Amino acid sequence: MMPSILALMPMLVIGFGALALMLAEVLTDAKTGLAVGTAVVLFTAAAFACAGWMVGPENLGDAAVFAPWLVFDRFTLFFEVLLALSGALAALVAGGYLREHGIDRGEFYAILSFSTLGAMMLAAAGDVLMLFVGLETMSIGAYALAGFRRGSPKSAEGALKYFLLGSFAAALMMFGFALLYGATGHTDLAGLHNALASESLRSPSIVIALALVLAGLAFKVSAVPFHMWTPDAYEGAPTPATAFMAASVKAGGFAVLLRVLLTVFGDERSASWATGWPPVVALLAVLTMTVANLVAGRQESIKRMLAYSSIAHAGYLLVGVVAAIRAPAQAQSAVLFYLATYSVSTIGAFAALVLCGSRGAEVVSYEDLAGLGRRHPAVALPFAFFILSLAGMPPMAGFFGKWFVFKAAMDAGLHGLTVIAFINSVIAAYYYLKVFVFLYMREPAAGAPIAKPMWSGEVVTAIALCAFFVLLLGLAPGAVLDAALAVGGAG
Amino acid sequence: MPNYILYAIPKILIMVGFLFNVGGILTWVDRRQSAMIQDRVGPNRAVIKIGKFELRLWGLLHPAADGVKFFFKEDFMPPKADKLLFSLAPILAMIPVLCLVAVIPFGDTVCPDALIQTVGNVTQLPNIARSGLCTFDPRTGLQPIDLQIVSLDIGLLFVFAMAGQGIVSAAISGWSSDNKFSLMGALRASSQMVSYEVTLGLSVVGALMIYGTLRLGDMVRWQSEHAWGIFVQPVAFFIFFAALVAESKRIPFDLPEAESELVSGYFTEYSGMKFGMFYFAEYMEIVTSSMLVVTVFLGGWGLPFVHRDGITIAFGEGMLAQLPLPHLVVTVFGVLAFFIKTLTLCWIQTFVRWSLPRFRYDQLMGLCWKVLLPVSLANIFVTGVVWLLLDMAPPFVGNMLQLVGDATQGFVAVLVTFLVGSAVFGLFRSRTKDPRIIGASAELVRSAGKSPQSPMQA
Amino acid sequence: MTIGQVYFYLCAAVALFGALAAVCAKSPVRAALGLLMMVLAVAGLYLSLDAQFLAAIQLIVYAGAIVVLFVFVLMLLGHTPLVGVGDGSPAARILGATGFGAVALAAMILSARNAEPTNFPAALPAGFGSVGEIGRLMFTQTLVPFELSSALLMVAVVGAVAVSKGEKPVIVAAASVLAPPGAAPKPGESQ
Repeated sequence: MMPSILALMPMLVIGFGALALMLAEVLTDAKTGLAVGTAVVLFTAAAFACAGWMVGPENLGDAAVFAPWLVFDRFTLFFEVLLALSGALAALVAGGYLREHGIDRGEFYAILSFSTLGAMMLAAAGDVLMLFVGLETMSIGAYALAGFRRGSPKSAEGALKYFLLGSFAAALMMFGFALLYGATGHTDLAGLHNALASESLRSPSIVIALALVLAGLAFKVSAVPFHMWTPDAYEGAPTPATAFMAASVKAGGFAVLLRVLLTVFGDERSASWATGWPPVVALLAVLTMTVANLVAGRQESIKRMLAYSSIAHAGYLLVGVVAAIRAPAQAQSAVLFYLATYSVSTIGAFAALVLCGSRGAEVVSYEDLAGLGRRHPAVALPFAFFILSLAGMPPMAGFFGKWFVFKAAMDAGLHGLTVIAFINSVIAAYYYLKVFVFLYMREPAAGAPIAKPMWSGEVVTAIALCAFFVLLLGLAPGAVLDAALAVGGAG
Repeated sequence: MPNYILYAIPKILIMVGFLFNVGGILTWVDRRQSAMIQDRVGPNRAVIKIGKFELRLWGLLHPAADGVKFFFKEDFMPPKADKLLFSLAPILAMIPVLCLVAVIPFGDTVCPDALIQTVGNVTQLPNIARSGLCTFDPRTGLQPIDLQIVSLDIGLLFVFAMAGQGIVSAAISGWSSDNKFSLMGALRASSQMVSYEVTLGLSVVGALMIYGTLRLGDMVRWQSEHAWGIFVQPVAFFIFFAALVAESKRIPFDLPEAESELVSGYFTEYSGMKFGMFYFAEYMEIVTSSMLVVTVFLGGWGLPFVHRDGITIAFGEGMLAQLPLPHLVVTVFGVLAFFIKTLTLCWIQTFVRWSLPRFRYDQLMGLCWKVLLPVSLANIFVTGVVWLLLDMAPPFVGNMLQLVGDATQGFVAVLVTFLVGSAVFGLFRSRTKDPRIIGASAELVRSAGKSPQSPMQA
Repeated sequence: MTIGQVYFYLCAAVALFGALAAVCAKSPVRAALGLLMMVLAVAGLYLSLDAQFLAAIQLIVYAGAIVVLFVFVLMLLGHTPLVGVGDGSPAARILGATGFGAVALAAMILSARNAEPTNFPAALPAGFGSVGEIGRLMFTQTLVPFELSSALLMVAVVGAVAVSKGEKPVIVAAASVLAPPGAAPKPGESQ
């Protein structure tokens, strides 16, 4: 019994921790500790997931009682750690941001925790039913977080767009799974895989189902042309929520994308270049990278730029997903590693962005950044640092993430795709460097409103942790890379 | 035609007939009783005159007169109303109420071949076993008949499903009327009904856990074997009753049609028979909600100590008296008991109207969400905990509970006898001799030094 | 045709009509009622599949709560005809609808022709669709998703509170319906 509880511990800790935090908010009326409390809860969950990793999923034999609903393999555990860490970092950022902007309401942390729980369920889902429950838990939380700044029409607009399109995408995906169920009679992913792999089954509804599921998943990871909601939702949401959506929600989306494409549709026919999903996903990847990078360069708003940047990163990740058909273990671990580097970099970037502005003097556009490097070097430096990581400059984590994904794609023989991805990361450098230009080489126009940095211990802690992870993944990627490889080997 | 359809027709006739007639009479009861409480005469003008003979029946002809009036009144429709929805709304108000009675049992299962038996020339009324099973006689081919139009597995859920449909009617009638009072009334009605529906559903969950079934017939059987629901789940009873009154939008929950604020709420613009249908549906809703409360909490067709084989007065193991009764008699008793209980509850509902003041709207919503809902959730929790404890308890606790259950049956029997006795006593007491019966307003007039005679005539 | 088939086609026709009405109706309340009609007809279809519980829940949840909430919101918005639906030209809309409809139709026809249900039981297990059996399944076999869906409900509840309660919203166009034109909303009325 014990090992099975251990497998479930991360989810239990988050669920009960979130409830306890909600009660604490109601009963004690103390709001200051909530961010730290949430972070502690999520770090604890991550620690439990690490413990599960140490014990090894093969020794969590009793965890099979949760089958087929929840699968606790190394893939799940990797994502649990990643999701819990990103959630905790986002919560820390929220601690400073919400207080500064006067929207310090305890619901934020509860929603964030439950949404993280949903993402974990999504990563662990071994059945369509569970997958849907996890997806909705994660997404509804994200919708609420996006609309959390109730006083702001932009927040409402972004949340509404996100909600409507997200519901539509979920419905499409559900319809796809319903067709699959109709064709095979299975709802568990393993059963679906077996049924699809059997030669006897040749139903056209499977193709339609694949298309619908792919559309739904592409929405969740905001791949072009399903990305329309992303800039608005990211821009309108409170910045910590944006960080959460960019890191955790995207990670959850990729977890389920990998699981569904490589497990359910991982059979010979579906995963072959000629008859299956790879060309579609490759097309999505090309579109996503190219469109996002081109549009990102034209943005005035920093948050929108970061939103398009996150879309572009989804494109690189999709390259890795396509590569997984030829070199499964290597490509999958590259995607996981990339997700880890991307998550810490993007949360760090948003955290630094939070720190750059204060209430009434936020950083909205590039202009607001002008001269910040000279006026407040301590605040500008971390922002520059994470932007470099996102751009994929060598010593940072982002570089190795890209490197492994591109290498996996090359090894898989996807030369064209790799070249496009490479060109794109060069294009991306344009708008990342633009940040530097404004930070260090421009002065604000006379009389223009200038951003005033804020101070918050929580945000600084989050930035320090993100910087630590970025450097760790960049300078000593061994441990995490081994973990990602272990996932690939096991999966 | 299959047998069950054949059997269903008289059952439908009984239930719907009861519903229509009692609904109609209730309109009279409501008005007449209001008059009595307010010390006036009330409706008494409707009359059938044949020569010198006048048939008044204490105003009982008023419902009929109203019905005739509804039919011949101008059917007015506001010029900018949505014609289709405007006409659809009253129909939608009636249908759910009518459907709802389909699952309500008005008597125990009848064994047709055990009702009357003729052996040779002797006609006898046989008894049947207490277990309730019919001895099925393949020669006659008569199946046992449930005195229930249809016995659904989802029983109570069907009731809730139907009750929920009534909200749509209120909403679209108000919306389609193109009148802001109607719209406000509809808004109030639909938010009130949606809110109270939650409470309504959650309040009975505790009772459902104990009964272990959703079939209304089985609930009644459980209650006649153990104890009435009102004793097992008193909290649930009160919440359920309150929520039902709120669902039927009667005082003190009649905010949607608060005449001092909203003219007549969502059916302000209705006239003629369309208005009649709303009006009538409301009274029928009183009947159906009473039936529901009777079935779920007041023992349905059950009478204290009356079982399928006759009267057995027993407390726990101790048998006090036993009187075997024929199946026919027991069945008739049961059916009568159900309808009399229903009528009593209908009367109580009309009575409440003059006992409680109207809430304010925020109080109404606050009551639902902040009081009734948490209490019903707590009720579920407590019921579950007690249930678990009882499962682990030694057997004597079960015997004790059985004893207490029988005691409640005895209590009901004594209470009902007392109430009926005092009612009869009160009816035959002379009005003139008892000064308390002189109305309060008469007292007022007398104290003002005026003539005590008939201070207010209708 | 058996009674069952007649019943099926009747329910299916009503459902289709309701769905069409929901899409085509000009008045939003009529559209909501079309939706209601479809929901009721689908509940009828569930009944024919021996899924009484599902039918009742469909009526309670969808017809009794969700559609009512739709109507409720529409009432709050007042008599607003649907204007400005779809920014695209009518041609684009027709093209889109036709394309999507054709794909859906093709999917249905192809699926129906290739329908080879693999592992569906030939006979229904005892107690299929009954409340007791569903409850048993829910608390044994599907306990994990059942319990975890409480997290889903929780986040939905908290999320609804989070986006609806708190600082005063910036009023864009609300309160214009119930208040006569020109009358400024009183302070505190915005909630």
